[in-house]
Amino acid sequence: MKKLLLFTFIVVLVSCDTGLAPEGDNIEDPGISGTITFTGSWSPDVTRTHIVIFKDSLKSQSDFNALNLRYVSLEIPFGVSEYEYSTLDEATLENIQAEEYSYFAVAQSNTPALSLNRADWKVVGLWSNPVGEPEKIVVPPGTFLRDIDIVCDFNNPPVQPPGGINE
Amino acid sequence: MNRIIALLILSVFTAFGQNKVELTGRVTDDSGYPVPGVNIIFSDYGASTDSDGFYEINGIQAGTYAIRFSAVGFESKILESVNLSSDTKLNIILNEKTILFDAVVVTAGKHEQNLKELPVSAAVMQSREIERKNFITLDNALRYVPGVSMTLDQVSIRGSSGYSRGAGTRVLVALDGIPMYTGDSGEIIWEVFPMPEIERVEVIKGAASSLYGSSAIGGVVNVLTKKPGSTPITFVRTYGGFYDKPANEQWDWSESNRFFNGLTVGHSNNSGNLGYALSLTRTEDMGYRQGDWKKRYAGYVKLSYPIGESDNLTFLANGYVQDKGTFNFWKNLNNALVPPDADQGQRIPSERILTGLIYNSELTNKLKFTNRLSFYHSYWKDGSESLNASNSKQMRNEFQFDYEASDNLLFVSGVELNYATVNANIFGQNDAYGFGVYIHGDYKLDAPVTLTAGLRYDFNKRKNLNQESAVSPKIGVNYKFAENLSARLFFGTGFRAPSVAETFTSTITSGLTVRPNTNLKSESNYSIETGVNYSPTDFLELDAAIFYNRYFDLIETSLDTTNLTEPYVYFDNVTNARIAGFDFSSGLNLGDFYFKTGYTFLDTEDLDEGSFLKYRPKHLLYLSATYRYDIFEAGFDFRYSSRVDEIDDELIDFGFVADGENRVEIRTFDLRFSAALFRYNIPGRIGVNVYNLFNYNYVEMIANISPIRNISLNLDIVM
Repeated sequence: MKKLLLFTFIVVLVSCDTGLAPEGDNIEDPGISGTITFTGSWSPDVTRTHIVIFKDSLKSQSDFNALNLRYVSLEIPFGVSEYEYSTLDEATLENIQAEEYSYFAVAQSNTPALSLNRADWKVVGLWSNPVGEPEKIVVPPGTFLRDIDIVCDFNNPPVQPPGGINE
Repeated sequence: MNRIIALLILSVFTAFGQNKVELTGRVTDDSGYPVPGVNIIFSDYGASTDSDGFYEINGIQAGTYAIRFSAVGFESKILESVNLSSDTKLNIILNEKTILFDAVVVTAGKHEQNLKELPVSAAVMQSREIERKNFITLDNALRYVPGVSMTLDQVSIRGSSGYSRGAGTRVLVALDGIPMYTGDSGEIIWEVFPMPEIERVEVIKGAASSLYGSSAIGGVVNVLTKKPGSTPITFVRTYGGFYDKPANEQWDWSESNRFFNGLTVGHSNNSGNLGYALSLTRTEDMGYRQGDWKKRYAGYVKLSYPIGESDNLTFLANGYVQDKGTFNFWKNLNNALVPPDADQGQRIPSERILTGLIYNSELTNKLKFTNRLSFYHSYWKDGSESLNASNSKQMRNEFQFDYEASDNLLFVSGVELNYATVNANIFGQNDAYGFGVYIHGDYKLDAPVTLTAGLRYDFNKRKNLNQESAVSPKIGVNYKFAENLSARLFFGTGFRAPSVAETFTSTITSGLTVRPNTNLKSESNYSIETGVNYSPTDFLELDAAIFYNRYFDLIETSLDTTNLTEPYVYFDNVTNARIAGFDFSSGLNLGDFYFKTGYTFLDTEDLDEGSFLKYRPKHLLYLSATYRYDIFEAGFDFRYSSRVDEIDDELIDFGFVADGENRVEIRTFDLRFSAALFRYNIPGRIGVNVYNLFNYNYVEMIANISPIRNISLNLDIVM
C-alpha cells in the first residue's frame, strides 16, 4: 500500500502543471468593433440612429430599461451607407465589460431627444443567428472583438422585441 | 421382527427426507447484470448458473458448508460456514476479474480465439471499465487503450493517423463486425456507438485489410454489444456534471457554470423465442468552449431470434439526432476557449442511423455461414458561409463462411459488397462502390504453434474515376513455449481507398478554401511485428512488441500557394513514411488492487521531407490503478503523450489559425470513486469521476484546447 501511495504521489507530482497559458502581453481592453451597413432607403422621419447593446434578453417591454442598457453609440449620421464603430470610441453610454451580452442591435427613433420609451424605437439591424433570432455576444477578458458586422436592410427589418409601437 | 426393521428403515429415510434442503439464488456482477456459467461447489454438491444467473441445488443434506462460487473472468468467492438447515436463497455478487490478455476475441480472425494465441497484438476493454470511467463516447474510451491515441476525433493505432479534419480513417471501426464509416467523408462518428450497450471493445494493432478491406491500415476497433437477455432486465444510467473554471482567468469567457448530463433507459427481455434489447439516451453538454455545445437523442434496438436449433437472426438499429455548435479553432492563445468572431453562432444539426441484419447458420457441424447486411444513413449541415450539407447512404453486405477442415485447421472466407451514394453541395452528387473477396486460415500444428495466413482482393470505384484494386496478404505465427509464455510474429498489409469527401470536397470553411482532387488514389502500407506475452506469476501479465510499418502514398491535406492571394487546401497522395517502434503493456492483479501500464515508443519519418510525421507523439504512456475495498472502488488514470514535433504549419503561416504553433506535452490525471449499492438493496452503483484533476491545458489538434477539469456524478441501476 505504501508503494501504491508513493507511486500515486509521483504521478500526481508530474501532473502538477498548467500546460498552455495565455501570452499575457497581448491583453486588450474589452470591447467590440465592426461595420454597420445600411441597404435600402432611409425613412425621412428618422431623427436618430444608434447602436444599442443590452445585457439581458428583451423578453418583455420592461427589459427595455436603463439598467439593462450597456451601450448606446453616438448618433449614426443620417443617410450613410456604412458606419465603422468601436465601443472604445466616444459614446452616449459606454459600459462594455468582459461579459456576455444578449441583445445587440441598430435602432432608429423619430423623437428629437434620446428616449427610453420602447415604443419610440424600431430595430433595423440585429446581431443574430442564421434564423434571425438575437444571438448572444461574449466579450472574453482581455479581448477586443473585431469584425462584428451588422447589415441593416430597411426593406427587411429583423423581428422586433416586445413593446413596439404596434403592440 | 421384520415389521420393526421395516419401520426403522422407513423412519430413517423419513428423517433423511426431512433433512434434505434446497439452495437457490442468483449470481450477478457488481453492476447488477446476471453472470451465467458460475460454478457453485461445496462438499459433494454442485451446479452452474443458467443464462440469467439463476442456480438451484436440491437434495442437500442439512448442515454447514463452505460454498465456492467461481466463473471464468470473475474473482472467485468462498462463503465459509453457510448454515443450510432449511431451504435457503443465496444471491451472490461476483467481481469481474480485471485481465489484460486472458480473453477471447473475435476480431483478429472473425472467429473466437484466445488473445494470447493471436499472431498480432491486440487489446480488450470490457464494459466494466467503460461504466466505471463514465465514458460518454467511444473516442474518450479509446484514449485509455495502450498504443491508441486520438487527435480530436481521429483515431490512431501506433501512429497510423495524423489529422485530416472529418475525412477518412486509417483505423477500421466496426459495430458487431459492421464497418461504421460514413458514405460521404468516410469518417467515424463516435457519438453513434451505444455506450451503455457495449459488452467489450476489441482493438487489433496492425494492418488488417487482408480480412477487413479498406481503412484497416492501422488496425481494427470492433465494438461488440451485449446479447439480449432471456429474462427481464431494466437499467437506468444517468450522469450529471460540470466543467470547472479555466485555469487561467483570462480564458474565463462564460459567466455561468457549464453543465453536462445524460440519461439512458434500457430494457432487455424475451417474448417467446425473440430476445430484445431497447434503450433510449438523451445527452446534453453546454461545453467548456464558447459555441461548443451539444444536445443528442439516441435510440438502440437489438432483436435476436433463433430459427430452428442452429440458426439465428439478429436485427440491429442504432442512431441519433444531434444538434451542436461548432468550434474549429480558437480565436488566439489569449482567447483559447473562444472561436474566431466570424465563427460565432454556427451550428451543425445531424442525424445518423445504422440498421443491420445479421444471420448466423450452422449449415453442418463443420460449416457455418454468417451474413451481415447493413445500411448506414448520415445527414448533416453546417452554418459556414458555404452552408454545407450532406446526405449519404452506405450499404454493405458480407457473406462469411467458417469451415472447420479438421480439429486443428479452420478457414474463414467471405465476400463483401459495398455501395455509397452521396448527395451534398460540398461533395457533389457522387457514388462509390466496391467488393472484396477474402480467405483466412488458422492452422494449429501438433507442436504448440498456430499458423495464420490470409489474402483479400478488393475492387473500388468512384463515380467517373478510374477503378482501383488492391491485394492484401498476411501471414503470422504464434508459438506457445509454455502456458504462461508465447511469442508471435506477424506480417500484414493494408490499404485505404479515398473517400468521396477527400476526392470531391469543394467548400469554404473557417476562411479556408478546399478544392477537389480527382487524381487521388488509394494509400497503402505493410506492417511487421514481433512480440512476446509472458505471465511470470498468476497475478502479473506482461506483453511487449516491436513493430515496423511502411506507408505509401499517404493522403494528407496540402496547401496550394501558387496564387498567394487565393491559397487553397486539397487532399493529395503526398507522403511516403515509415513508423518503427515498440510497445509494452502490463497488468498486476493483487485481488483488491489492480495496476495497468501501457507504453508506446514511435519513431516516425516522412521519407519525402525527412521530417517527423505530423501529429505523432514519440512517447505514449498510460498508467491506471484501481483499489477495491468491500463495496467501494477507487482509482486513477494517468495519460502522457509527448509534444508532437510536426503540425500543420501552413495553416499558421498563412494566417488561418492564430497562435496555432502553441502546444505542449499531454499530461492528464483522472480520479474515480464508486460504490455498489446492493448492500442497501439497490441493484446498482454510484460513482464520481474527476477528469483532468489538475486542469492541465493541452491541445491534441492545433488551436483546440482539450477538456478542462470536469466533475461528474453517475448512477447505474439495474433491475
